[in-house]
Amino acid sequence: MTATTTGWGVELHGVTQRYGDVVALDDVALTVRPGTITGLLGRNGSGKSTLGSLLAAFRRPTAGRVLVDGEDPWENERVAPGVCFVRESGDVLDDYSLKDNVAYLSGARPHFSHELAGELLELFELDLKRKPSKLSRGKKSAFGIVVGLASRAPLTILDEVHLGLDAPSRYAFYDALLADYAEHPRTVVLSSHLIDEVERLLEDVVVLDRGRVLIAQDAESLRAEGVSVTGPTAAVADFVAGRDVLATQRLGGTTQTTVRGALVEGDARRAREAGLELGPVPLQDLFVHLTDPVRTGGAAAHAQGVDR
Amino acid sequence: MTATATAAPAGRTGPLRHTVTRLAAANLTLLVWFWVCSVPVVVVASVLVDRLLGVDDASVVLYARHAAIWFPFSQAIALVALYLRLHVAAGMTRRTFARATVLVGVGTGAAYGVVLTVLAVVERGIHTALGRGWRVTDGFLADESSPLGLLLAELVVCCVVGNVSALLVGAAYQRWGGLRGTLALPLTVGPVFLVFALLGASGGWGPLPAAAPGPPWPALGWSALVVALTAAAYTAVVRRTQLRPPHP
Repeated sequence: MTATTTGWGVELHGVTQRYGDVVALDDVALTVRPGTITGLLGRNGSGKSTLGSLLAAFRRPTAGRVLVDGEDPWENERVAPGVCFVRESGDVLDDYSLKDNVAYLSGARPHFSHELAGELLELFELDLKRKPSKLSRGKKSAFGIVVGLASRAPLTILDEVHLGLDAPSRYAFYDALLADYAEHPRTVVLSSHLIDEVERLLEDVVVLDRGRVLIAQDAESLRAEGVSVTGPTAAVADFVAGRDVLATQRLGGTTQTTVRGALVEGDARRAREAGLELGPVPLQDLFVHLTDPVRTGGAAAHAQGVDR
Repeated sequence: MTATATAAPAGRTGPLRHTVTRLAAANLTLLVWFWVCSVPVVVVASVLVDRLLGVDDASVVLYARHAAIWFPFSQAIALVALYLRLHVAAGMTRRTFARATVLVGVGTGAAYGVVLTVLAVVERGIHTALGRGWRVTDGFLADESSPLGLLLAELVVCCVVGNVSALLVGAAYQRWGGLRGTLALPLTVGPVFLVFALLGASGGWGPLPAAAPGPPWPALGWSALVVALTAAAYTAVVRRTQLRPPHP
């Protein structure tokens, strides 16, 4: 496989990761398509960072199989240089200059672009002579982004790399990611809580909840599955009966209900006739409703039925 | 946009060579600093020992052997703590890390041993020029009458086992955490004292009873075996180490 043209796919089969009594990932089965930008979404503690750690061979699963480009990444001399996992906490030498860090981190990356690294350092106004320990949280995050993008690894995992970045820098990151991804396609797994901001980048979405896969599908179809129904309470209740209701809000006699599931033929007409308004649901709202603890008490069993 | 130069390498090196080069450069810098700081201390100590204690023939340089063992020992523990995470994050395996750090550890130990031997030779030359004797008061195998090669071998082995044992200490802390890493210290630091005992046993030093005088090479051979086994244990531990978050 040509590393920088297609990216590497990921497969997890029955993967469980325990830390003592804590189950970080619970029998996860998942496929990440090669050559896509996949959003890895989930609440705090849902297992996102653990998943990245397994893909990058930082850890070995307690049970199950992890495959990156068809092979177990653990101590794999071929796979290791092609997986770049950037954690928000930063795997850097705090007391060495950024220049020294780049020199060490780039040495084993076959496709590392010093030209792109230089451009990104300029973009984020990072001085190569500074040490990570002297950088602000945002600048430290920016350095992680520089390393993550300039490595041009066939599998790049960016775990909350934009924490502490101001809005202009975050948007500069999104633009840089898209531009370089278009020029050098690869597999990018992007973990973020800023769903509204990264939504436009995502081709596929994986939602983790309490260590299990709640959703794994392409972003377009997921967006199409969320529908808000607004109108008189009785009419809304009648319309959503039998559907997967995610959330309901009431104001006086008006109700807005969010349902999951694509509309079928005739739904739009029925809604019109009942005086209801149908609208799209932003991905972030879908995420919030889907991972609502009240709702997900019984969602875990459902999760394994929808992943792929 | 003006690109900042990040020093692209002329030709990409393999992960082993890349790691050895970086770590050796860091250790070399520390070695230079260590001896730049130590030599004046040795000179001052020599004068004080002469003036205050009236001992003018003792080798003060060789008292520095413990500093030359334990200073890089502490550095090697830090090396594992700092670099293992970074190494894997940079897309390299624990296998190359183990190989590179053992190579660097052995090289660092050998370098400290060589420098110490050279300083001992210089000290002996100065004593001779001043018309004083030169006496090894805390020798293991070698004494003032031993051939230079034996002194060199003894010091190199002592410094090398310190470095390799420290890698094992660092790996144990990384793999098993603070409490169990500390509990494992008798095993992980043990090789250093075992080598001291092996070398001291031939020359009448160390916790073991003095052995009958004989050829020193078996003790050196056994010591080299201890170093090799320690390196193998370190490799086995580090290759199974799961990485923790840098800031839990």
